[in-house]
Amino acid sequence: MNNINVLLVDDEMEFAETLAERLRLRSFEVNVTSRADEAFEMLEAGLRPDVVLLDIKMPGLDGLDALAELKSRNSGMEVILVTGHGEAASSIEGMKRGAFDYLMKPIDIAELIVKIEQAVARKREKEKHGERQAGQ
Amino acid sequence: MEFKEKIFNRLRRNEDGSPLTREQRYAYLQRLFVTAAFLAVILPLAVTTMLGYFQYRNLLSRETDDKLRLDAQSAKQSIEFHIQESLSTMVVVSQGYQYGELFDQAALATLYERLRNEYPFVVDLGALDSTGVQRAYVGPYPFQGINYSDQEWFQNAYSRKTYVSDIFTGYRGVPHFVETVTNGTPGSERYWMLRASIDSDSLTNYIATINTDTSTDMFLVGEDGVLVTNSVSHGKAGDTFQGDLSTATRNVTLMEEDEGGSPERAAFTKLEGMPWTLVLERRGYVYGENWSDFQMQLLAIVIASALLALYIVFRVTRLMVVMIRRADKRRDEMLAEAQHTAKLASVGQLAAGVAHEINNPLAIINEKIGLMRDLTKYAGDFPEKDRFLVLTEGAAVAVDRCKDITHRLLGFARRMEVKRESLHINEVIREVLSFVEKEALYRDIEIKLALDDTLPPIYSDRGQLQQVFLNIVNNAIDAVGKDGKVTIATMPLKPGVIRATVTDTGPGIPPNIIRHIFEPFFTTKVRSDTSGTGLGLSITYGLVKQLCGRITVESPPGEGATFTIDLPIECDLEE
Repeated sequence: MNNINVLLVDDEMEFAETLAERLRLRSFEVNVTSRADEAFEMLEAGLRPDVVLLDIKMPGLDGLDALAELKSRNSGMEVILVTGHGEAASSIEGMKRGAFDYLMKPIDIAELIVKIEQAVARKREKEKHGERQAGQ
Repeated sequence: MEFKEKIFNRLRRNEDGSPLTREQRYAYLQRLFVTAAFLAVILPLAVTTMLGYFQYRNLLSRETDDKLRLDAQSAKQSIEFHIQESLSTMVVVSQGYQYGELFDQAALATLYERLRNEYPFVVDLGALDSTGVQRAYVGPYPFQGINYSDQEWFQNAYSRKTYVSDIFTGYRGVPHFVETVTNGTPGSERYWMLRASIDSDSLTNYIATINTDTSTDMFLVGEDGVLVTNSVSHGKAGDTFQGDLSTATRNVTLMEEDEGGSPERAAFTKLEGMPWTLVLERRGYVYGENWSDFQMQLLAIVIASALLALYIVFRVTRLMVVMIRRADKRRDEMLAEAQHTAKLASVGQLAAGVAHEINNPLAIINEKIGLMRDLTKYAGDFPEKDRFLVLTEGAAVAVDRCKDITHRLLGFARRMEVKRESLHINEVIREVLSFVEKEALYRDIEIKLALDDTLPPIYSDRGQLQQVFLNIVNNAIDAVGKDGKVTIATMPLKPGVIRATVTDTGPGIPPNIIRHIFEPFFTTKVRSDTSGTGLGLSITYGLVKQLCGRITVESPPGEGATFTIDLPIECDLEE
């Protein structure tokens, strides 16, 4: 799978930039932002990510609220939550609100890639399903 | 309030201001209790005793007064009757004689004999003419012809029909008195007087016969204050009486004087037709023996009651102090346990906080190392590339270890959602054993089960219980090392609570370590790779608490260690 577009939203820029570079080395297209509202601006500017990696705890709008907002804008968008605090309750809450999965920091890159690919597969599946429904 | 404050202050500090030790406080408390309780018992006892004592004494006092008054009245009548009777006899007898007949010695002797027959106390008898000359005399003394006209008694008796004189010694020098009967008109030639003298000894003897109470001193006192009869405490007849009888009347008068605790009381009354006052004196009360007995009995009862009260108060207060001491000890133990629990909780929170803070930089380090390795992989060969890869690999392993620790710490502190279900503790233990059996077999460790299959099911979290037993059993296997035994037992503890124990034959846990065994990061294991993070038992402790249970450990020296887990059948606390 290639040309996967990932939007990484995490206030810990040192972490986010490094992870982004590692993903880029693996042929992912990655955009990074430290704030949820900037992510919305990027989406409004035309960015169409396949998967959003969203930190739960952020200044301003937190991950769970951002997730709800993202889902309301584009229900087909897949979001993987990233938490640095091991809050199982928040992660479970995130899953209930439509997140594809969640990962705990520090992240195992191989595990992340598997989850991204699974999320993209589901997204594409949904898109195909949507097109079929639209064609009928 | 002030008194209360004083007591509380005294329980905190000595009189010199130094703080009280616990033992000093107990001793003071016991003294305080003993004093208070003793007073509470002794005061009513003393009041009751005093009331009883004074009531009884007043009663006796009244009884004594009444008896003394009655005795005086009775003695007065007896003496008056005794004297008047002899006087009346003289009157009657003398009326049978004409003037001059009794101046005849023989006739007087006949009369004397008749009188002596009835009244042996009559000493002598004389017949006097109007000039006071004793014309005839019958008696043991040579008194015929004596002129009594200058005698006081003669002058007093002269114009009276009958007369009883006061006591005097007279010619004989012996205390005596005279009774006289006169005939004819005073001053006329045919006037004569019959005189009988009676010794005071005979009166003394008579009083002795009518005074039946040996504790009463009964005697007569003349108008001039001279004793008419002998007195036990005032002297013989003829001696001067020192008391004051100025208030004496024909009625009985009572007087009381308290001398040295034993009241001296007196009754006195003037006698009718005689110049004498009858005096009755007595020390102490009537029923004196009863009074002494009562006093002795009362004293014995009071002393016995006081001793008994002291003994009971002492025993009861000692028991109270022992109970307070035990309650204090229990409170200290509970406080220590509560502090220990609080310490574990705060250490857990602190650890979780540290884990939170470390987790983010750890994530950055992890990504940086990952990127370094990525770059190295994708770059061409360069000097020392292999060594660089080994170094980054080592750093990645270290990050993994840190990650393991932070995740466990977060797990320790996290309030996981408890999923309760009805389960059998023995099943959970058997499931856990399936994980560790191979390890035990490999190390030649026998796992012995003593599970009570009659235990009721409990309502708890299967996953968490599995983790608890896995940790404890793993711990036991690690403690034994090789060639040993791990015994797992279950049993009912009390209604609603079951108990599980895991006992190993390992080296045991020293007392200085056992205190810290449930604290995070406390381990006795030698660090090697991932084992022995020091979190296993603290996580177990947290899980057992979460399931409303209790975990304790005991390790008698040289006998391995036993972990005991008590679990309620139902846990009411909603976590």
